[in-house]
Amino acid sequence: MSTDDADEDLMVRYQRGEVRAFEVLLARHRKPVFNFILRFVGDKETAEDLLQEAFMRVIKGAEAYKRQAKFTTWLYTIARNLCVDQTRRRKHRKHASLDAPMDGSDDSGTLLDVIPSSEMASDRQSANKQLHATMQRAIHALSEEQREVFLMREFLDMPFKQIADVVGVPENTVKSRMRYALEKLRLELDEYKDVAKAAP
Amino acid sequence: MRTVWRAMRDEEPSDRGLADLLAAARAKAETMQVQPTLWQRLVAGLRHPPALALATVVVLVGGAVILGRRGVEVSAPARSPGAADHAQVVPRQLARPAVAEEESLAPVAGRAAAGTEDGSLAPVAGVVSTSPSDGSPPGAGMAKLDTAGRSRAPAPAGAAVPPRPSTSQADLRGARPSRADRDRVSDVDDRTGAIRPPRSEPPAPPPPEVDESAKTRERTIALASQHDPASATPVPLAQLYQQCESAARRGDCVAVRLMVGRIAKTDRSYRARVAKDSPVAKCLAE
Repeated sequence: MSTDDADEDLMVRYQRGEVRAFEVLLARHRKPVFNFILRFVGDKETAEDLLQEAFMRVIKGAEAYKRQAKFTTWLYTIARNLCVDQTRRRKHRKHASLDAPMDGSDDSGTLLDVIPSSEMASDRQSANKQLHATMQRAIHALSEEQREVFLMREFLDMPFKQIADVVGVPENTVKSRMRYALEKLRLELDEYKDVAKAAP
Repeated sequence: MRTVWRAMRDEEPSDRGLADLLAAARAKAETMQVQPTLWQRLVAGLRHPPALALATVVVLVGGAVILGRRGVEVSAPARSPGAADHAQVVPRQLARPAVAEEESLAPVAGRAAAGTEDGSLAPVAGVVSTSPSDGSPPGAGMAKLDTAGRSRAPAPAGAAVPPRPSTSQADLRGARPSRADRDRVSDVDDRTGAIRPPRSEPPAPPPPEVDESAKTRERTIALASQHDPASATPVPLAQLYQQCESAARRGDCVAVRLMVGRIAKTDRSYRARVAKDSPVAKCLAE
C-alpha cells in the first residue's frame, strides 16, 4: 500500500477491512488535527483527549463514509464539533481570574504573574516566545466562529469553500469571519509589530 | 504578522491512547470485512493457474468429444450401408438400412405373388427349366428362381456365383409358387380353365443357354416396363399354339379366340400361321 494514496481511497480500503489503510490515515492527519484542536481549545491534555475522540468517531462512522465526500472535510468537521462542544462545556464552568491567587492564599502568585509579559522579554528568543504566547492569547480571544475560520485558513491552508463545508455556513460568511478575525488580531498584536518584523 | 503565526511550531501529540485507537480500528475492520460468498470464492479459486489449466483441458476434451460424435453422425448416412468398417463403427445405423433393404424387396416379391393370385399369367415356372430332364432334384428349380420369379440360368461350373441380396425366407415364400401351384398352373389354363397337355407330351424346350436366358429376362423386363400385362408375361408362343390347337380340337372356340388374340399381340406372323390351321380357322370363322 502506497502512502501517496488519496485519503478517500485509504478510507474505502479501511471500509473493506484493511487496518493498514487506517494506520496510514492516522499517521498522516494525527499531528495537524492535534495542533488544530490544541490551538482551538488551548490545552494540551484536552487536545489529546479530543484528538483520540475525533479518530474514534472516524472509526465508528467508517461504514457510513461515502467516497464522494472529502476525507479532511469530514475529519475536521468532527474535530471542530468536538472543539465547539468542549468550549461550550468550559463556558459553563467557573472561569479562573487572572488576578486571583491560584491556590487561594494571599501569598501565592496570581495567574497573571506566570503569564509571560512583553516587558520581560530581553533578548530575541524570549521576545519570540513572548510573541507566540501573545499570539496564542489573541487567538483565544477571538470568538469561536472567527477562531475556527482563522485556524483552518491560516494553519491548515484550507480553501474557503472547504471551511464553509466544515463549519456549515456560506462561503461569504466564512470570508467575513476571517476578515473580522484578522482585524481583531491586528489590534491585539499591534504593540508587537516591531518584534514581529525582527522575527526570523 | 502572518509570518509570526506561520512560524509557530507545531507540537507533537503524545502516544497516549494510540494503542487503544488502533485496537478499536482493528476490531471495527473485522466487523466491516465482508466475507466472500461461495461464488466469489469459487471465482477466486478459478483464477489460480492450475485451475485455469484444468478448465482449459476440460473444455478442449469436451469439445473434441462433441465434435467427434457429430462427425460420426454426419458421415454415417453418406457412407454405404454395406461397408464392413461402417458396421463396426455404428452398428445401429447399419442395421436400419439392412432392414429397409429387406422391406424394399418385399413389395417386389409381393407383386409377383399377387400376379399369380389375380388370375393374370403367372411367372411361368415351367419355362424356367423345371423339367426333370436336366436331372436336377425337384427343389433345384426353385432355387434357380430369383425373388421376382424370373428365370435364372444355372451358373456354369466353376463360375463365381454373384452375391444375392439378403431376402427373408418369408419373402421368398411369397414370391415362389408352391409345387402344387406350379403343377396346377402348368396343367390348367388360368383364364380359360382348359387343361393343358401334360408336360411330358410336348417336347420340352432344351434348357436355355446362358445368353438366351439373359435375353429372355431382359426382354421380359423391357416388356414389364411398358406396363402391358399381356405382353409382360413371357408365355412361349409354341405353348400357346399347342393350347390353341388342342382347344380347337375340343371345340372350345372361345378359348381359341382368346389365345389367338394373345398370339397376335405377341407376333403377327405367328398368328397368320395359326390361322391357317384348319380347326383353329374353323373356330375363328364361327
